[in-house]
Amino acid sequence: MATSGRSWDASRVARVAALGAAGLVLIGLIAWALFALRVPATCSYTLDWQAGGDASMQQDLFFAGQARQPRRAVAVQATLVVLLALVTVLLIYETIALSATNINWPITYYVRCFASSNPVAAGIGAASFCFLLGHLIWYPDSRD
Amino acid sequence: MKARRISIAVLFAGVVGAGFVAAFRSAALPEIAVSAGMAWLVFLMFVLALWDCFAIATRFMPYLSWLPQHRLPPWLHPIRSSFVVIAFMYGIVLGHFWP
Repeated sequence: MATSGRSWDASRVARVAALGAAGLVLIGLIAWALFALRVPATCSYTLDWQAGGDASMQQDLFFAGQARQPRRAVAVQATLVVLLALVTVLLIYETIALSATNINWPITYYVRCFASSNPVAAGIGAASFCFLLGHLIWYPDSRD
Repeated sequence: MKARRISIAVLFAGVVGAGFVAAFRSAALPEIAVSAGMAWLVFLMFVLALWDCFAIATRFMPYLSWLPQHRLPPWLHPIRSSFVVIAFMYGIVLGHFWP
């Protein structure tokens, strides 16, 4: 399975197309949630949901064959660094918010509210998210 | 090289575990401790990724990450059937976020 390099066989095109489609679905859902979603009035600070830890599963798993292309590898690694920094900040906020939910709403509450009010859209988003992250752990075969 | 990767992995696991233990001992609620522990884990991954960013760019420092997919041990190869991973993650996400 080629995950990097110059060769673009049919299977690689299919995988990249599937990942691109999943990414577009996620971006579309985020845009819809930002601009067109009407949040029900029941989603408020007064809801007494049980909070849980945030599931952040970013791994630095992009690098099969990247040693041959150091500039691209540095770009991907720098993107990963920024992503991990962002997730760290969000998790710190989540921790602070969980310790005083009457002051700030934890991120998980927003997600649960979205899942409660729009289960189909939330399911599609969760599937796209898992599809993208699940592919990061896809082990390349010995041809790489 | 292998010994270095194993020692880094053991050290990383120890530091992560110590952070989780400290979080569970000090937090008022388990969900706060889990969130704090995850923040600690991701922060450590951030530090390693930052180190590797310089290592790749300068070729001067040693490359620390042991998680890239081409370095996974052979007994993890079946995970390449990534739909199993996707289904597993989907279960975690559903179980975690659905009220």
